[in-house]
Amino acid sequence: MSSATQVQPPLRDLSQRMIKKHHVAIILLHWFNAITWLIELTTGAALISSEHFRFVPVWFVTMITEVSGTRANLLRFHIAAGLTWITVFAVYAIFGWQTYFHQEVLEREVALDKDDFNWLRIRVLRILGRSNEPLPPQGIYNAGQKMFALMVYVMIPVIMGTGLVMAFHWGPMTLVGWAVVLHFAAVAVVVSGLMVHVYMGAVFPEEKPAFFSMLTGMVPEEFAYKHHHKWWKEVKMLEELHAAGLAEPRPVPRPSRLAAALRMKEHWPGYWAGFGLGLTLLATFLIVGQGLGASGGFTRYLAFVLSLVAPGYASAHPYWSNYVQPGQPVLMDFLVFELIGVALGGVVSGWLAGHLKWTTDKGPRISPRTRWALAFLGGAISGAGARLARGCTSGLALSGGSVLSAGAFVFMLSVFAAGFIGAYFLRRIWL
Amino acid sequence: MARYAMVTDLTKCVGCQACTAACNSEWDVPPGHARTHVRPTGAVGKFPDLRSAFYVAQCNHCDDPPCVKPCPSGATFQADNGIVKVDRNLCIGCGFCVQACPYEARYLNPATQKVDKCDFCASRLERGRQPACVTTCTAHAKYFGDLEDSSGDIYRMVYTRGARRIESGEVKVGPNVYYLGRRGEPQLVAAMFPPRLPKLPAAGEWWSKVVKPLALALVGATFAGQAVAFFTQLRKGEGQFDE
Amino acid sequence: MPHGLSPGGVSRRDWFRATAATAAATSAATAATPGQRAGKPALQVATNCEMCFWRCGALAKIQDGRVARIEGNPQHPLTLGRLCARGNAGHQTLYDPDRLKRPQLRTGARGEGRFQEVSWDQALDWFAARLTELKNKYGPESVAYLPHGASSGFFGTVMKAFGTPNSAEPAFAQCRGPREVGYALTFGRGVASPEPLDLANARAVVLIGSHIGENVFTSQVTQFSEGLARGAKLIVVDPRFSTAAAKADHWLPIRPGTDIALLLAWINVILSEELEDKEYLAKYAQGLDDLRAHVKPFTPEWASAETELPAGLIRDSARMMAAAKPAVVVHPGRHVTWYGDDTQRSRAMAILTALLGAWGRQGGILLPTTIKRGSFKTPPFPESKRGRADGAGTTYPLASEELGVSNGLIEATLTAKPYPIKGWVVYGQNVLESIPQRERTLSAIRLLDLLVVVDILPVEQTLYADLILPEATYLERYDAPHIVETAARPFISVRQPAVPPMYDSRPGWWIAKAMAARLGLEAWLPWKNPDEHLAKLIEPMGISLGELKARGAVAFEGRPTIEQRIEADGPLFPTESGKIELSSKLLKEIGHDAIPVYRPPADPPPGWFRLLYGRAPVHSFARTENNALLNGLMSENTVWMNDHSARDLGLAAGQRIVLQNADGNESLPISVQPTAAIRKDCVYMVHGFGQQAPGLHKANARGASDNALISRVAIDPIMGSTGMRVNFVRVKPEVQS
Repeated sequence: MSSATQVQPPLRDLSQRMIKKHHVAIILLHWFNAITWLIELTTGAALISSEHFRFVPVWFVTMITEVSGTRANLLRFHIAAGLTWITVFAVYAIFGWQTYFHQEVLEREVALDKDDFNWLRIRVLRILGRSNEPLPPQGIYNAGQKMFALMVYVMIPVIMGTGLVMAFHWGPMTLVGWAVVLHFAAVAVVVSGLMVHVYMGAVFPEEKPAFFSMLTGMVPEEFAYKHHHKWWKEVKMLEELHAAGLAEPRPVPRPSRLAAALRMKEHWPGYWAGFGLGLTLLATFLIVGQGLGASGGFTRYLAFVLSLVAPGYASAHPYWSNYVQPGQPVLMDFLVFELIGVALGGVVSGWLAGHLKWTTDKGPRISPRTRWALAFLGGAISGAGARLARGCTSGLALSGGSVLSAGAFVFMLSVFAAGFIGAYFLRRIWL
Repeated sequence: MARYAMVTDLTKCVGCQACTAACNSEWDVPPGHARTHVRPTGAVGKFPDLRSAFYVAQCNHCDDPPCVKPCPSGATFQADNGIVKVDRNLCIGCGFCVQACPYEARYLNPATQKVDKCDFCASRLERGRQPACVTTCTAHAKYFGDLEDSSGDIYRMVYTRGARRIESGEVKVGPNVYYLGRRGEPQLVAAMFPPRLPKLPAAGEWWSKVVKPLALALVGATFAGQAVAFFTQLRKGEGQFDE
Repeated sequence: MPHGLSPGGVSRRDWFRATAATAAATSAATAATPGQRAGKPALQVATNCEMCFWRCGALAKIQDGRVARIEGNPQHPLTLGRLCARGNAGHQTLYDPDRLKRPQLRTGARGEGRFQEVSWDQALDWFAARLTELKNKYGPESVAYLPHGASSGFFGTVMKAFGTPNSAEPAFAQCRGPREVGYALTFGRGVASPEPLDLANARAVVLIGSHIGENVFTSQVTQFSEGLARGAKLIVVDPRFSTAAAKADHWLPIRPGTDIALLLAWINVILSEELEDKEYLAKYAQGLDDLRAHVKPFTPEWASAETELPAGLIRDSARMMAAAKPAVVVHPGRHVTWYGDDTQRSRAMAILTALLGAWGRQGGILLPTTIKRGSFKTPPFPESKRGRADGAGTTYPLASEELGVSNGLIEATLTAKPYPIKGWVVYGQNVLESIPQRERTLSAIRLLDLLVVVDILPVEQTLYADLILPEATYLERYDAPHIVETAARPFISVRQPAVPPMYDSRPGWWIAKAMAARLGLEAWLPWKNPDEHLAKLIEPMGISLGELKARGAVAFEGRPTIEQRIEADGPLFPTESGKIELSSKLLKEIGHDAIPVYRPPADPPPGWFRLLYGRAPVHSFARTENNALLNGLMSENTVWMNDHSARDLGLAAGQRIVLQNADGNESLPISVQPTAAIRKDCVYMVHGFGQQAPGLHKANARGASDNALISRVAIDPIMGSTGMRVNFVRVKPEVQS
């Protein structure tokens, strides 16, 4: 035990009360990181196929290669996942610099004090059953976690840098050659730390609350009291001082609207969202080779249902045969997957922003039932219209407009005109 | 499956570099590099008893290609027909293969930053055409075909006319580019341009000899430590930790 | 020159082949795409190459409107689908960023390089006005035309119609003139280009200075190699161990300038050992007794002292070629303006050919077969009362009046004799690189009232031009077709554009027509477009324009050997006597030796070397050094020096030196290449480097120019050519700046 003055714990409450440990952004980042590591380790291991350097069995290489289709796909996937990882970390580092990075990482995750060094020594001995000495008090992260964080923060830039060198062939052959080796070595170091990390988090009984905190963000106060005593004291003192009106809560820098929006607490500003949509569209063109769309995807779903129910009719029909061809998977289309992604993304962002609830958006004068009936009617009309126009507001107006298709502009003008007129006649539904 | 091979008749070759130019043009090879080189031996001997020949060098598509094993990503591979290829989608440009080739047949393309080399014009072969160097050769000195086709020119030149491989005492990796010559040109070329020993660059050596064993040892040791901890935990029961 | 004969007809088999092949060409157009670009359909245009004057059959493959690749045209009867390095690289000249892009009028001093871009209308109006001024002031003859290349003929017609007879190409007096005159004196006709050498069927090949392999004419190399593979014997006479010498059964490293001694000794051996083709000579030749008497003293032992070759080697090589008669090619050479005795040396070679019975024989030198051509009716060209200014036909009695004597024109410009030359139109030739004595050329340029240069690239001479006209490259234009009668199967091959002209460049035919219109000379170019011109030309040939354009070339039946000749082909030997003239009466009449006489050359003083020069297979003269692909293969030249001489001078391989000639001219820095492959009394470099044209970003000041060191020439008195291997150079340690 430390010699510092012990604050008396209100022991009764400790096991019931939960205190907040992790911000939701940290939780998301953690799991994003975990998934990325899993993907990159698996694909990376399979990518090193050379006889000289391979360290996994051939069957593993073959299996992963076959799952990817070709080795080129495997490499592309590895690079794409790595670039996503780098991008997310970059966004986190830039927008979260003040809030998380500076305080969390530099002050609380990495800096080791005397207690930490003692803790490390005793912890190891205790695990090995060689000591019963009590552990020194710890901050929000214990010394083991700090050690791991420190190692990770040193190795991640190495992994990212060497990865970029390999992916984009930056520099002469010798540099790329060494990048391969460094990439491998840095990953090996992280992996050995990761093994301890995963073991402590998922298997080691004492740290189970820490594991759950990575899902809920909360830890039982009792756990904090026992394992992160210094942090617990800090939290308590702040609470008490605040309650006594003796201190302001730690000043939090006022975030900009965009920064706030990126933290998903409110709607994005319209212009920023439009810009983002444009970038999404550009990315879609670059990655998939086509634009965004909506009605086309629904048409595919319908064609799929039709091909199940009446395949002969569908493949002979002049319109449906565009979608239904023997031997061709009907759903093998970008829009199909895009629509699933749109739905999932909507749910996730709504959830993150706390906007997720069951509701029927309607005008005050109509009942939910009328609203649903009108939505269905309106949807049917727009669906038919979209097919007539060979596209909807997404596929035709947005994607078409972005490539300056004349049809897109005619369509948009018509939509605005019809909307303007229709809104007048239908205003009672909404007002 | 065919076993493709090439024969260059060095008695006919005049070193005009039409092959190099056709190849450079066919494959957009940047100036200063080549997938097939013409290297003069220069005059050998004492005036006026001199000899010289041209070494028309390219990838030999060896039976036992030393460039395949060091390629970390598997970009370099040998197809069933014997053609050693570089999958440009997989190549990361580390250059391990460049140093491994005893014939200096590979180069890093500065435009793409990927390794490039002769692939016997595989895409032309698919369309039923001969390699670009063969069709353009002004001296009609290059022949290409299937070494396993006993009725073909290549078979005849290799097995009955005694076309030779460029090999040395130390390096015998089964090259499939052969050389004919009535005046001992292939021997002169082999003496002047002996294949070098395949070697791995320092990074590759470090990787296979130091980094990989160390990494495996580190991960293994961590694993072992955790296994000990795990069994300790099992033995003592979980409650022991939840004091 | 061949006499007017009956048309070469198309045989039934040829016709069938042509039809079948057209279909094949059409279907191949989509299938045959360059390697990496598989999948995308490629268009291909059959044309002929202009990277040198051999004009091999080429297929330009077009992708996304650009020439992506050039391959050989397998339907070309002579070159059979093969292209040399330059042919493969042609599109890199088309896409050379340094190209001349728009017409330019000089605004600064001559040589300063300050120009103003103008429109074609402005440029040609200005040009026509200057020509008219000169015509009014000095007469039309005061304008000289210095052309080269397939497109220069159209403008040549304009110049003739304008009234000037003064036109001269370096192809004559700086290249193959002595050969054409020497062989015509002997056989009644010159060798012509492409040389009809039956190398593939020869049983012995004799190269005197010809460096096949380093000098690449595609089909000549193919046939040479085929011949060697079939076991032809090879005798190479060269002070340098050339590529060909390495393949030779006998290499004769001769003392430079003593070739006539060797040739006389060979003739001596053949005649004294009675190895000549007696039947052939009896039937076709006159003057054999004179010849026998003439060569009597010139034994191999005598020649050995002159040539520094072992007498045994001379004797053995003579016997070797004689054993192969009549299938012997004594290569007549191409650039043969060496020592000023060049017509006589060519005569000696022609006589040797005759003794072996090889002229008009399979495996020897073949006879041309005339192809009849159609032509428009045009008015006769105005006749000049003052005659030619270059001395062709007067000072140099046997010089070609068709090709002219370019050094004679420079002389006339400098001296204003026989009358002033005040304007030059330089079209596609590079007067500062192709004509020796640069200083004289530059002095002549300073005296001009008008210098117009039509070119593709900003070569050095454009700096001195008053007007620069940018011509389209061969891949962007129609030219007059290549009609070749001197081949086993005579043929016609077309030049047609693969892509439209880039920038503001124009094809030669357009420039000629536009100028003809301004000068009121349209009557001499009475066709509307190149198609009309081509259609008229092939009218008597029995082929269709569509077929010709689809295939690129069409061959006709040839009668290349004496045995195959028919009466309509005209006399076998159109000489004065109707026979092969071993002893030339004509030469005697104009005051020269009837049979070649050897005159010993001057040796270089100690410490000095005779400057020899030649070609590299990847470059054409000074035309291709700026081509990205070819520059990548060879970006500068080296100077070959005997390894012992280099050691004595303390020079190491790759060391940069400056060469200095007897007149104090200095070269640009050049790397030394010490080698056992050259005699001690000479040095050698590849021609075409060391250009001083800042506009050529890849070629400028790379390597050294042999031409800059050729300040002395030996004029051949018979036909006026400039012997250029008479310059001695020494090494000057490079001055560090």
